[in-house]
Amino acid sequence: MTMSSKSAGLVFSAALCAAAPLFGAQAQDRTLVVVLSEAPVAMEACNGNNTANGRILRNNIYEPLTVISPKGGEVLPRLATSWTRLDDLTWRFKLREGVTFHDGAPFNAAAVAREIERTIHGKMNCHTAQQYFRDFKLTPAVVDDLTIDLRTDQPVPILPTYMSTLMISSPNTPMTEFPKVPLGTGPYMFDGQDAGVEVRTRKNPKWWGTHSNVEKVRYIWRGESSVRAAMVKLGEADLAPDIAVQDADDPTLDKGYIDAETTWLRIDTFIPPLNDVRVRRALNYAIDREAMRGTLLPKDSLLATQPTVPGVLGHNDEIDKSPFTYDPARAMALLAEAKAAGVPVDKEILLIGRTNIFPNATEAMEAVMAMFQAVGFNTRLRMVELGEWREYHNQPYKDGRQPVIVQTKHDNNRGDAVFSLFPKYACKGTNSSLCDKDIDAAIEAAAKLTGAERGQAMAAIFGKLYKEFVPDVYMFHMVTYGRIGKRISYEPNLLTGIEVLVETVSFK
Amino acid sequence: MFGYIGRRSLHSAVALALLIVAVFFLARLTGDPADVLLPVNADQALRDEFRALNGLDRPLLEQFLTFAGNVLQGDLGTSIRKQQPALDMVLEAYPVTLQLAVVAMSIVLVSALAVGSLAAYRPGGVLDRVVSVSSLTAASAPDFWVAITAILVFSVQLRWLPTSGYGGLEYWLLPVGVLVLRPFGMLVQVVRASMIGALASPFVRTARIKGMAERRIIYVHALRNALLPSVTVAGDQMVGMINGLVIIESIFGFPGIGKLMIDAVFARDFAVVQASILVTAVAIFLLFLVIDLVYVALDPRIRHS
Repeated sequence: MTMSSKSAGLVFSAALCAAAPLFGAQAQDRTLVVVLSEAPVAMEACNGNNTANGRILRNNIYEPLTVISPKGGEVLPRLATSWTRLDDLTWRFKLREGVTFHDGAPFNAAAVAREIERTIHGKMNCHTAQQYFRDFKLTPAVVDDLTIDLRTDQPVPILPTYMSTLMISSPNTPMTEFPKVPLGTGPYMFDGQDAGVEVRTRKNPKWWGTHSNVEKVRYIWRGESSVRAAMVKLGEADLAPDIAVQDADDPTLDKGYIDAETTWLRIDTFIPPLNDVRVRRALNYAIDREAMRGTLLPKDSLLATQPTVPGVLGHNDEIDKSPFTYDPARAMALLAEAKAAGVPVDKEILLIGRTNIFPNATEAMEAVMAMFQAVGFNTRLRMVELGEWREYHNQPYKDGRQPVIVQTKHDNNRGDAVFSLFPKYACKGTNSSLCDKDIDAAIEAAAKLTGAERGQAMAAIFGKLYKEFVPDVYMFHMVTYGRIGKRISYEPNLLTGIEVLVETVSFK
Repeated sequence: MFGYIGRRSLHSAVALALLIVAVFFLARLTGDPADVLLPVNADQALRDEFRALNGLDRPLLEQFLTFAGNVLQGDLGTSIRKQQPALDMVLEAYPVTLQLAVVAMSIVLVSALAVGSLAAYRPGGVLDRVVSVSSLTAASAPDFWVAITAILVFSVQLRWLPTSGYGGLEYWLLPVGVLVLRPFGMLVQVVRASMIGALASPFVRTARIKGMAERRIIYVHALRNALLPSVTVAGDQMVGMINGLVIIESIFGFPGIGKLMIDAVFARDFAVVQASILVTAVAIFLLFLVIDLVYVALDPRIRHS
């Protein structure tokens, strides 16, 4: 029996319909696979500013009241829609209406007050409290469901900036332990994990904002950069937010971005010969930074003159125009001048490098040591790991120590230079090896200002440090490379080091 | 047999007790967790608070007594980073490493015995030379380099296998293949040397004179006598594997004990370090017991009474 055309058409259509789910399933696969460099430590909001956790949690599962724009450091609304300074000690935040946590609990002022209690006043090991909320006391007062007053015990002109670090978890989260299931308000909710293998999230249909077309996310991790790069190249993953420079060899996939990290060598200005500014200038002139770019460090790295990257409030754009150049003759002349004045320039200077602080960190320090020696410094290099490095990097320093120069790195992704100025340059700054009462007074005065005035005051301090004190051997603002797979569109930015906003990722 | 097992268990319990003491104090020699887990600009007050919160400010002996008491109740402490029971974390990770180790060593044993025996049959012959050179090369190749190269060849260039991940059979081929290479290279040489000795011994000559089949001579009589040194070396290699396969696990994304332990050491997560070492010690004790029993099975002249 032959089949009529009509019957054949019907059969063909039926076959197409049967096959459609298969094709449809492939076309509709909106699962984003992100391969990270390390596993998250805990799905805990109060540790969500730590890189390993932040890329999964920040503004994906948990959200804070405010966020910092990656483009200029501006404070933008997130769970709070507006804020007003009522007086020197009090800020009023208006909260976003109609927001619920992933478990259905309402987001309101009481939830914010609870989170403050849990994170800042609680008894857990909370990185957010340790990093950002030690210098002042914060007391919440619920005004109504959508209004909360935050009172401090001293003026905090940038409290909205600080609130960008405090992620809000559901009031059903345990007060004194890390949750097994993270419950936030974010665009993606926790959807399970396989311990040591992956974490999964899926779209929160009740999120208040505008989603991208990513339905689900799988976070996996591989410590080896070449494996991460290969995974994206082969389509096993869609996004690797950071790969080593030597693996960023495909311009169709790889994007370099300034990642808010700056590296420099911190000089111990208390101990001779480093207490002499001629010696500190000589150290800066001895370094051939251009030779290091494109070899030991990414070619797109920017020469640094201060610890904050351009765009941070307080960054001094003027001194960026005149970075220290490589001038070994000048370095030797300065050393000779210092020696003639009785400065003990022949004393051995200990260089302390930190292993794995960034790729090729050891090689970079070896190059630095060689450059110092080439102009006449007596230097010895020790590479140490984090624990020992802190002994050299953090106050209190040992009495009777030899002169030390410490390799360091700092990221200021909060958008305000005060987070760099105080710890690095104030007399009581934990990482400071400088003590000048005028600088201290200037930092204190700048911290009380707001807006453009604040930025100008902080920029002036950086200018003074750079031109008059030279407390550091300035090196680079770092560039990281991300590999973005062909299925997606994503633009890495200053904050990609600590967060990957899935709402800004989309399938093509 | 049971008496022997009982005596070994008692000896091992004593060793384990000493290990608990050693692990507790030696782990603390790595440094202060506050140095690693607190923000870089943490001041002394914060460090003191952190230490007090985690019981690290108490005298060391008091901390040890608390730890020892808890161990007797099966509590190996809580991870300072993850706030989870350390023993749970270790028991979750350990089976992955054990699976890798058992699969790899099984392949190593079978293949090394076969290849080493064949090579020993005609010492100096073509096959022997090929086996010698390639086994030496395999034994010398560093895991890290082999793993990355294998990924580049089989995943990136040929696209035969996934780069990494923990899942079905296709995810195991590369890590197991890499893991097998060095122990195979070493064991082949041991088997070869032992077999050459065994094949030259009088009982083999007698067996040949009596007209026994060559295959039976090699694989039943000679190999059995050559196995003892091979078992010793294989056991040593297995101990190395169940200590943790840090490189393989890191590169291929296997959630095993090696990576867990290394991360815990770097983070000064004492509870996880202690739990990892103790669980590994128990596994090694069991392994040595199995090896001893294998010795007896291979050579009835060995008595453990």
